[in-house]
Amino acid sequence: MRFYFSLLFCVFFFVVKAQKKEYQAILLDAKLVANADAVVRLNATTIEIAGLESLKQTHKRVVTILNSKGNDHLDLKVYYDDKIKVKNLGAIAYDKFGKQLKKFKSGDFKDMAAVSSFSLYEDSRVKYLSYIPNSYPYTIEFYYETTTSNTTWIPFWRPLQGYNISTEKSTYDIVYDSALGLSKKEKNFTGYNILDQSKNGVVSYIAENLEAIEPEELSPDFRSIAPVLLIAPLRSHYEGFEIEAGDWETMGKWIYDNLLSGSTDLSEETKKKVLGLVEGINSPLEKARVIYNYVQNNTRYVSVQVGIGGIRPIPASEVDRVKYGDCKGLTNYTRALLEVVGVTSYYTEVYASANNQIDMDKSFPSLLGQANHVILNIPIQNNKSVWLECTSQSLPFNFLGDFTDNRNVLAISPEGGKIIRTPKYDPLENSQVVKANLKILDDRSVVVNAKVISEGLRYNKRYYLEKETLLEKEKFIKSQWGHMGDMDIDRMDFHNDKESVSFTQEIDFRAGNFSSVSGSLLLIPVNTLNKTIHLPQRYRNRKMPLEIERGFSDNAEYDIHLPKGYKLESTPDNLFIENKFGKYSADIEKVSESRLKYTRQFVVYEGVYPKEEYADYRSFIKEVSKNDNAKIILTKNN
Amino acid sequence: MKKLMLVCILLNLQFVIAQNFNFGKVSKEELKERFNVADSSASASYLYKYRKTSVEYFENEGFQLITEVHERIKLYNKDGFEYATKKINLYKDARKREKVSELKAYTYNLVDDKIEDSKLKGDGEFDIELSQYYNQKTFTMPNVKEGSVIEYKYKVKSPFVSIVDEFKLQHSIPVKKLIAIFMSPEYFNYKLNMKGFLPISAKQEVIAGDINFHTKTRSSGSGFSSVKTNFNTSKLRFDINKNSYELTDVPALKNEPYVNNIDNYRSCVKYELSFTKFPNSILEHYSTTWEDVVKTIYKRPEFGGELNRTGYYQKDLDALLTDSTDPLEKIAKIFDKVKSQVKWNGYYGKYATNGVRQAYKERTGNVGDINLMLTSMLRSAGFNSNPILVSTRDNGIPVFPTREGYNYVISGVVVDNDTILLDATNTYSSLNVLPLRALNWEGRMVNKDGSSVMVDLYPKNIAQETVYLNVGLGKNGDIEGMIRRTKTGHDAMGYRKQFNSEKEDVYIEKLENKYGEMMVSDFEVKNNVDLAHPVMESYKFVTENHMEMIGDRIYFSPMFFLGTKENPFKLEKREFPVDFGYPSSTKYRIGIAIPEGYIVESLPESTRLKLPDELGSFLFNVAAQSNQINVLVNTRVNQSVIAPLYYSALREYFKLVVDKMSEKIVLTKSKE
Repeated sequence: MRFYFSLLFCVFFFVVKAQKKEYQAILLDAKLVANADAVVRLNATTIEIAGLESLKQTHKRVVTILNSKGNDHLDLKVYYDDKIKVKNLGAIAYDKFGKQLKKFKSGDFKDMAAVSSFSLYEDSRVKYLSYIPNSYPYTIEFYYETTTSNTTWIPFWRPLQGYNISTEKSTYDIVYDSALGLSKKEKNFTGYNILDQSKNGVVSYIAENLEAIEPEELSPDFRSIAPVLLIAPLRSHYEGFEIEAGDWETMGKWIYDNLLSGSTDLSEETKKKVLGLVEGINSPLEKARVIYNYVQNNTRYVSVQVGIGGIRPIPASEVDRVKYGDCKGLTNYTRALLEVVGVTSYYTEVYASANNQIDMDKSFPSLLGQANHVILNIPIQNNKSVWLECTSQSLPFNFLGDFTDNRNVLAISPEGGKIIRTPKYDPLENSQVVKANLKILDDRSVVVNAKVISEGLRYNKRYYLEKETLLEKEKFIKSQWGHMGDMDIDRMDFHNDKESVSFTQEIDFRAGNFSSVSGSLLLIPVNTLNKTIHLPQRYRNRKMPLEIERGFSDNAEYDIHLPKGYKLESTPDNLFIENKFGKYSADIEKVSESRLKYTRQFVVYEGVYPKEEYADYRSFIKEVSKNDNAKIILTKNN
Repeated sequence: MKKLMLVCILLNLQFVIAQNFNFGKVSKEELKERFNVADSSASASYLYKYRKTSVEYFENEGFQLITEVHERIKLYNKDGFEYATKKINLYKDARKREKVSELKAYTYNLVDDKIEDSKLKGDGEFDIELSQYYNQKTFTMPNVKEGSVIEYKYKVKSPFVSIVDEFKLQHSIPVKKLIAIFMSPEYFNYKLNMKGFLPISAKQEVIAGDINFHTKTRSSGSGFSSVKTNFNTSKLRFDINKNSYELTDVPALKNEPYVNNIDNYRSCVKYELSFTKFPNSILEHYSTTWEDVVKTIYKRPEFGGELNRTGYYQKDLDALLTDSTDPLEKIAKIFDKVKSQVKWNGYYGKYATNGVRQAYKERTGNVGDINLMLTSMLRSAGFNSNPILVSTRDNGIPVFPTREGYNYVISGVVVDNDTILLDATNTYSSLNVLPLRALNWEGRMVNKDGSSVMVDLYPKNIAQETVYLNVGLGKNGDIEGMIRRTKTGHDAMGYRKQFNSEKEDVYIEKLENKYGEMMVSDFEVKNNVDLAHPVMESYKFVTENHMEMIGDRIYFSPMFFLGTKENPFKLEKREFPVDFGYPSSTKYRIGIAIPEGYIVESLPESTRLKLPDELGSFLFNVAAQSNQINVLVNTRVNQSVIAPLYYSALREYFKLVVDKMSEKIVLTKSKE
């Protein structure tokens, strides 16, 4: 009997050790699997703030990977630096039945410098594990602890971790010293199963059964629709500083007093030189133009991030000596030079991203976690501003481009911080105009003299071409107009007018495969140089609203010369469409028997529309595209 | 005229004198230079590029590799600023590492016609621990402007005397003056290898060298007499072999599209240790010929040794093959077994890094683990199977016989005098269908006795695609139809990889969007997992925008949304071969029903085109019969790689193909 008992015990023990029933992938809820490449089974974050200089995080994340794309969601890594200690690091892999496959200890993780692609040096490091699955689905449990004396940065809680990944359960608990205080803000929680159990000294949230979101074209950014809990301590410690968060004004004041003040000193020699540059100039705007030009011509971008240097600019005198710096250093240097010539400017923090316009939260001040870049704001009369991107050696004066346009940013003055907005580029500003003279020949080819003028954010996408080699310019033209067949380019003349932010390309070429022939007919596409090529994707079941982040306009004026020996048989009908999304018009005017004038105007406005209207927008674009592809038909004279 | 010539000569002379390559002797002329006369598009140029690598003796450390670098770079514009940051990768292993010393660097600018220098200080230098095997020393130059000249020198001391980095003689910017020197004592025999298009020859000299050895001997006297220490110095004299290269005005190496790896065309010299012979000791071989290289690789336990292990799979193998007699069936079974047993961990390598036994047990391994296991299993099953060493596409073509020349291994099995190539690291790779990464020229098959033969890796079997398309033209401008595609070889491998990596409805949604506007139904795929048969996809569709109805006429191109729309070869000239990866052919059979009430007004002319020397062909045939139009199109490229001499023919060929495919069929309303 005793024998039997111990045997039974052994078997039982074995099962417990080797199998985790709750990690069985085959039992997953169908709702969590829909649209998902991976399912977060449990993501538990526990944070203890025991004092001003003591922050401990415990993480445990169990994720079931459903297919090979899901491997991107493994995320078996932890970043650290000399202020962050990593402990109890490990991972366990389970097969689809929840049977343990392998256990990884701290030593199995690789340890590497974690220098971002834009940086020359950073003091950050990463420990990571690459896991090769044998079959799908499988489950990985990943756990670690970190401790640090920097208590300012507390990771925001994002219960839904991205597109195509669902969450079965996510918990987030903070125990903090009430004397230090904590502020939090819930965003986009509506419609999700999230429970708040916080009380004094404790933040506690639990989210369950959040379904995966599928990415869709022209939809709002993931961050602006997914639930997130913003969190920041009221009193904290960072790299030797004690920080007190109040509102943005006091936060800005703190930044100015502790990180910026005193960093604009320059040598007498430099001051003299800079004063010499603006001699005889009175207008602050013109002075700023001269200074920006000087900075662009004399510095370059080099990013080095070490300790407090991650948020504090290197002094202007240092930048002046080495003539390079990161965004903070170069912006602060420009501010220092402007100060010398008597122009006030504000160091301004921003979340830079060309793909999405992301705001700093007006009602949630925090020192870290909301900005990743710095630009310069110069207030001039009538509440107007000049904006400078100091890391670029080539952007025009007062031109931010799509990297930082139209979003809430934090401008910092000696008096304090203030949330203000960067300029928006209107659809009519983001214009591209193609003016061309097309001479159609009877061998299917065409001789074209074209002039393409790009402004606003369209300028932003093209101006770099000025500096490219002839070969690169040629490649650009040929890929842009590749549909016109083999091109022989006779002349390319690119002109960058920085003053008026306008980029002009003049191109003379001959294209071989322009019109198509059929028997005695010649078919000439009416708009090949400026046609709308990209048709937004069709969805069987659109789920997200339609968002057009930036508007644009696309115009064309062609003078079309028809070949001898042909008779004009038909031209496409004139078309005018106007709706909430934009406007389109195309007109053909017969100037003479052998000459046509084509005018096209196309504007799309920015805006957000309910998901039901996506199909309408798509058919608008389709109609435009179809009309751009319409043909002029000629018949051969007998 | 005479006067003019004199001036020219004088100017020239002055320029020659102005070139002083001693460190710090940067001239005003260099600073004033606005662009490189030989290549005005260059954003920067090496004015001087010096590297000397020598094997030197150090007491306590023995022979070490010392590399001295001195570079002077002119930065013409902002795009050239990337050269103001230098990154030096330093190799290390568990015990030893490479180190940088004596770094000196200055930036020179011309200010008010005076040369101003700025010294690199400690705050511009960084040491980064990149990985287990590499550290990196990085520095960025101060005070850099358009027109600046930067200059730096440093030394690298390396304990790894068998690894000499190749001397790159050509760079992505032009080099005005290049000096490369390699020196080694007679005890070290390095083999010299060269590649690239530049004419290079080494100046060879023998110079004298010596080493002073200090030895200490202690003699103890008997009894209470004192202990005496004797210091001896002995001198060892030997010859040093010195090779030097001096080049002027080396053009920049520029990339072109459809080149598989630009490094294949870069001019380089490489020294690889072939043997060492120290006084009073025996000759130790490294490598000299391909045969030697193969022997060295074969002798390594991680290669030859791993091939001989059989115990770990023997039972499973016996069970697997019990019912099989046909050799090809057996091979297929073993191949599938390895593929399903061991998943590739993404690492290349000719050696089994985990060990085959471990890989089998843990079910994951690198290329060496997997394909050496496969070879071993095939041998155990009685086949004549051998590993084949391969250099992957990104590793370049192995021109020099070096161990690093091969970075990958596949398996070959001989059946009826034919060698079948196998690579079990890719789920969808089949017999003689290797993943693209391994398709690079020739591999080397290593026989059991250590001898080796070259094996052509490019596939001889053409990848075939057959497309059947039946189309009906609707009254409202829609077209409706059915399509069926069949693919073999590499086309099938590519299809399986894509199709099986995503959900069917996601795939269909992409398919629907691929041709603009299409609604797909009755979608079916066959043999997406069964590699023994061609993969087949079929579906019905409705689409618009592929025909135009203007007045009484209907216009459409006979291939609708299929075919090549643009010439892939846009540039007029090309220096490097075009690499298609594998030979392929596509056949289209298209049937178009003529709608009631319409007749054919015109059809494109049928045509037939050929590339020279049987490199490829194109057949295009359109015929109408009663109420149906039949279109037959065949395209073929017979070679994997096409030499640049055929480039203009190839470009013209594709132009004609694209032209032909875009011609239109016109139907008109019948009169009655």
